[in-house]
Amino acid sequence: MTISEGPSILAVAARIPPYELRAADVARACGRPPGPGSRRFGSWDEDAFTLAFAAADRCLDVAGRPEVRSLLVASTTWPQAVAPQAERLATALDLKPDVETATLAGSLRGGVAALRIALGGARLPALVVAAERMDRPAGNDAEASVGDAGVAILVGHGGFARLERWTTRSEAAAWDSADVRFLQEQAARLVSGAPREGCSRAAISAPGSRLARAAAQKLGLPGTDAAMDRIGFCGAAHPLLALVEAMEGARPGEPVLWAACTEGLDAAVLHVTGAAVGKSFAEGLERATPVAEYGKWLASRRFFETEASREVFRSPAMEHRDEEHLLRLHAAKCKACGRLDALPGPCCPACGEPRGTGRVPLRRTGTVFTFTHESYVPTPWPPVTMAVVDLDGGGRILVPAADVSPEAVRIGLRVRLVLRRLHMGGGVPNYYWKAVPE
Amino acid sequence: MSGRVAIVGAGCTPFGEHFDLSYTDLAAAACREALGEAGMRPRDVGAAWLGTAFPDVGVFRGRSGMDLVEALGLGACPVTRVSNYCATGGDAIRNAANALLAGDCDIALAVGVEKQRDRPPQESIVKLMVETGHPYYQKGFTAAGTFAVFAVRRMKEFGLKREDLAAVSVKNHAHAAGNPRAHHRKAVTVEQVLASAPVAWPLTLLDCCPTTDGAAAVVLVREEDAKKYPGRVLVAGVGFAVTSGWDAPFHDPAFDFIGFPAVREAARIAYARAGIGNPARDVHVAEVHDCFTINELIACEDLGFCGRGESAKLIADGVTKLGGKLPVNPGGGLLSCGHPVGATGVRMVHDVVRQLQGKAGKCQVPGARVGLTQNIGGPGAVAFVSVLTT
Repeated sequence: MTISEGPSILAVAARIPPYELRAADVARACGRPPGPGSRRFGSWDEDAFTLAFAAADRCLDVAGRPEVRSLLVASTTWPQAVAPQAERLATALDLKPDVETATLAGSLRGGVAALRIALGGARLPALVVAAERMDRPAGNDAEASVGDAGVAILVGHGGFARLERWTTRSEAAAWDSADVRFLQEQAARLVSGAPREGCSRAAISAPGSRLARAAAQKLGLPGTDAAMDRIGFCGAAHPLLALVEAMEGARPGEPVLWAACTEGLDAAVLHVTGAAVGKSFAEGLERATPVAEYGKWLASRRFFETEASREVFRSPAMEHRDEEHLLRLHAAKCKACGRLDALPGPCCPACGEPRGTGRVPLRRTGTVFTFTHESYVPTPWPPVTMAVVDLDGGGRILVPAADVSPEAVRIGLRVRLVLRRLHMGGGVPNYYWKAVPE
Repeated sequence: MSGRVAIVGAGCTPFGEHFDLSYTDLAAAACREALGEAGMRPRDVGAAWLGTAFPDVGVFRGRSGMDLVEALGLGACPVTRVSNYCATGGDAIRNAANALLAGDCDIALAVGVEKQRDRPPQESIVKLMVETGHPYYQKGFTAAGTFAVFAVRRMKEFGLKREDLAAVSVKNHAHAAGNPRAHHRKAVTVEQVLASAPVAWPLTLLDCCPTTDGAAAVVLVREEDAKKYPGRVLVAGVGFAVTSGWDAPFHDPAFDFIGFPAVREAARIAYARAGIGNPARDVHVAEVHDCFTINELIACEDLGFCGRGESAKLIADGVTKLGGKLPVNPGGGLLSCGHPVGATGVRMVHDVVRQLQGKAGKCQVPGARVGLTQNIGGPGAVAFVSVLTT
């Protein structure tokens, strides 16, 4: 089909967590011969939902916060089998309640399918988000071959990039074989059905680096694959991550073949007509924090299993009542004295006037006013830094900090609020805002 | 309300880890000592206020006035349970005084009891912070962190040094060596404070009060009824203020993290009632709420013992040590005595009563005739200040 006049891509963003685990460090800890490669992983408080939020939030920033009409989110590693992932994301992004939402799960093709639906028939603008927190068994050779990432693509009219000649082939053949030679052959066969005419480069996604290489070899087109080499295979998010990588690296007027080999084939020709707004993929790759201690990595993955015994109080009724404050991060604005208050309550603490119903969104950037490092609070990576943050435009909030070493925290530090896991009260992830360095 | 009240009996258990004593054992011991000093029997009490902040740490004792009736065999007595975070003890005394002045009773008993060590220390209040309370606000904060953020802000504003905080711990632990009721009676050095386990930057273990069991009680009557009691101490003025909710200071764009408005307000009221014009000159001995070292530094400023930002110098100059011009926490404070939460405010009043009676032993401030207690609760938003005179 030709979609030149149809929907295009308005903005993209990737959330690539900074923490890096090298295969060699895994091997050393487990007494194995060292292997090549490294993976990226999110801190102990990151999961598919928080990675999805970070990518989506950045993407909307890049696009200038348009009113999103559809939200499609995909992962194979949602932290709960049944939960309102898309709806929770829509609320945290402060989208309007009439946004159309869909959560895709259980298939590596989820991210690709969400993008196909957005381009083909969703209410626009449509925000497509895919994220994964990928794990392989501890001590396994493949432990560092998968990665964590989030990626978001905003689809609408008049964007900077188009996908044309989309080709789809559905196959029931399972990809869970341990026979790499068999899978390489499948990937090579599938990719030969891609619309490669006129393309001088390729961005190929397949479930594993050897499979992707086999497919690329078959095509004979040059391409980069930093997503696979340096982040690791990111499940349903990987094809979209490869697409974002290709967009950031593409030159206008140079079509790129994009192909995803999983549960069949999805492939299209990418035309980038303008400069990609933002370089979140390249910047994310650049910002790496190696974690050489295998125990520290393991603690970040196992924490909530051990912490589950701590029964933190949770109340869905309270969450519902205070959703506007907790998840949308709106503040009450006093009609009498103008003060912005992040906390809900019937009256303004400053002047005592009843509040009424007026709420305004708080900005999610700000400056640390004071802080402390808590050593007695249970956490896999002690200490927990707690920061009092003055938000740009008014309002103050007390939140934990994340992705920052204690030595780097100081009064005046510029931070941004992101959603992270706070605890597992009620046996489910409870998300709240945390401050990360801007 | 006019008129004043006097304390005619005071009692306090040793503070420590009383694995052999229950909540009611502790309550009974403190009350018997107080009533004994006044020459009264339990059933002489007209009404009582029982202060306990955290009954859930133990076996629910202290949730209601019932637990004092049981401890003392009071028969039928109007006993009110008081709960106002760490200022619970002070609030119990205030309510007892007000009831006397209102003519509700002729003999009032104010008691503070906390039984914390039926659990390991970290299972007590840290556990409460982690596992209960609001599921999002302040999650990750402990009591130490609640006040550590003031220390960090003061480092920026006034150049406060880590060693300035340690100096409070060194002074109060040295004072406690002479206090047989203190939980910890061993002197410590600045180096030991700095090298102790980190708790909430910049506070370390020796900047923090321990987790302690204890009870204290005072018997009060109206001033005109107090003449026959030779050891009486006059309650010259009481101030009490509650300025915000639990989460509010940390979300208040105007809050400066330098001092506590509640303490300044409570002090203003107490000073006005007691006729204290210049506290640095008029007060001879003070028991202030040093749950963490930073809190004593803040208290000295909020109470007007020195100017804003000058408390580190005040302690460095030796003004607040025993033998100085205005000894603060001569019995070792919360840092050494421990902080059985509901008992602390009453324990402070007990200690000042002994000072004004000249019966404070090795902790005695010679010639003390005017004493002060300051008791705070929550994030510093609840404050009680009393001025006692001979």
